[in-house]
This record gives sequence, structure tokens and C-alpha cells, in this order.
Amino acid sequence: MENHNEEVKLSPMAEKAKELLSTLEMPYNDSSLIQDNKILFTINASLYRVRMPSQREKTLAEDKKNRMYGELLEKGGYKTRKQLKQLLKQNSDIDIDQMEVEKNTIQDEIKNSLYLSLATKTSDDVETIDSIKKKIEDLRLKHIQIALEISTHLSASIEDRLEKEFIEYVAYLCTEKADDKEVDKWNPIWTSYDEFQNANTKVETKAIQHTVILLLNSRE
Amino acid sequence: MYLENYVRDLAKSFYWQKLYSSSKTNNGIHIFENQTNFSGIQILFLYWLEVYHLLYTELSQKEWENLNEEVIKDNIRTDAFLYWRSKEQEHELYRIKQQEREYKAQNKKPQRGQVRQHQIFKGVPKK
Repeated sequence: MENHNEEVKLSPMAEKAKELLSTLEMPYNDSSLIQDNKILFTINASLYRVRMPSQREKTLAEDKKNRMYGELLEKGGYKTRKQLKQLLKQNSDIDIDQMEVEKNTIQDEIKNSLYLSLATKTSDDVETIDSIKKKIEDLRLKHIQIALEISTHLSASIEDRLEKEFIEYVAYLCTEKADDKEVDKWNPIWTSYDEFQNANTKVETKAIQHTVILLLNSRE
Repeated sequence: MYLENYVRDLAKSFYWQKLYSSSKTNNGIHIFENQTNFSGIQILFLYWLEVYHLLYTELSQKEWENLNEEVIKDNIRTDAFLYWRSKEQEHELYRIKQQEREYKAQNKKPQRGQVRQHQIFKGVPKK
């Protein structure tokens, strides 16, 4: 009688082919973020997805953003980035323009000094390469810290609020949950934007994060 | 930073480079499941696919002394190389333009007895 539990022995050639296939397949398995314009995620064993907005949905989100702009202007008291920069400088001694200059100086130092030096090193000069790379990494970290600081200071600006509104509205429109019964059927999660805004689960946070990844610079 | 590294590591991989080259020559091969409405991360990925495609081409043609597999593997070294290469190309372009300017300037000066071409068709001056 045939033993089905016995492991199939592969010839050395087949073993090699299997190994090669596994290395080829590896990046494919890990390419979920780019293989299409949707990102899947699971929370509490339920499957969700965020997809790219259609042209109509983008228009709806733009419209929502514009309406919010009108509301903020009507209410008054909200500041543009430029106004906020001036206020921060006058009242809190926080100079955003100076921080921008610092950021650019770091970028220039990385490019014009370290990159040019690193690019001409031969691969056997490991010590020098590692030392330059360490300097670049440190400067990049400093650059990120300054960028984050600027972004925190300006997050209350009108422009940042509008950007946030756009992203959140797209997240609301384009996040869907897999149907429990029908395969490949996706249903909306929230019945209204208010419901999305008032909900306090992990789904909204994930939806917003993934929307940011999907949109990145695609709107520019 | 993490996301960019993720995208770059995929873009330089043998699998995606092979697929990218094939898609350039064969219309039936598509890189993504969607053919339109690309996401931001897909556009970023396409950018890096092309950058690494060029780098591998230049590597195979041994175009630059300081470009090798180790440079391509290392993202910081690749960034450094790309910047250095852009500066080299800028210098080369500047040198060519400078040469062109010098050449034009030399050719503008009419030699003694030499008639400028536009003077031939000038006609009789109006009185």
C-alpha cells in the first residue's frame, strides 16, 4: 500500500529549482502594498481594505475640504501657516523659518559633503564608508526631528486642518469590510461621516494610516 | 523612511526588475493588478523601478568606475552615487555648453575679407 505520509524526495536539480523559486516568490509575497491600489488589514479576525478613491470620491473629498475652509474662515480665529509662524516667533520665540534653514543646511551638508565623499570610496574601504554612513544617518535623524517639530507646531494651521480633513474623508469613503458570506464582496463600514468621526476603534486609525500610504504624493 | 526602504528593496529585487524589463517589451505583461488610478506608493515604486533599472544597465555596461553591486545593495551608498552622478552629468553638460558658446563666438567673428552670409541677401539699402 502506498504511504501518503512519506515525504517526497526531490532530485538535487529539483531542490535547486525549488530554492530559486522560493527566492523569486519571496518579494512577491511581501509586495501586498504595491501589487494593486488597495491595502488589506485585519482587526479582530475581520478583514478590511482601504482602496484608492475614484475621481468622483476625490471630488467629494475636495468639496468637503473646501466647505471646511469656508467654515473656518466664517468662525474666525484660525491661522494660516504663515500667520502661525509669525505668532510663534513673536509670542513663543519659536522661529520656524530658522528651523527650515537649519533643515536645508543639514540636507546640503549630507549632499555636498558626505554624499560626494561617500560616492567616490571603493568598497574595500569599509571603515571610511561606515564612518560616513554613520554621519549621514545621524544627520538624517536630526533632519527628521526638525521636520517633526515644525509639523507639530504648524498642525493647528488652516492648511494642515484641511489636509487632515481631506485624508479622513477619503478614509471614510474608501474603507470597506469583507462580507461574511459572499466572497469578494465589500461593504461600507460607517453610515455617515459623523459616525466615522465619532467612532473610537482601531479601524479608523488603521484606515487613516493606510489612506496616507495610498495617497502619498499622488495628488501633487 | 521605512516605507521608502521597503519600496526600494522590492524595486531592486531580481523578480521585480525582471518583470519591469519584460513589461517594457511585452504589452501583455503588467506590473500591477490595476492599470489605472495608481496609488501614491505605486507611483513611488515605479520611480524606483526605473532608477534601479538604469543603475543595473549602467552597471552591466561598466559605465562608472564607482558603481558596483555593493553600492546598489546599500541604499545610502546608492543615494550618494545618484547625487554624485547627477553632479558629474551637470559638469559635463556645462562643459559642452561652454564649448558650444566658445565655438559660436569664434565663428561669429568675420575674418578679414570674409562676407557674412546674411550680407549676401541684404539687397540694396533704402535711401
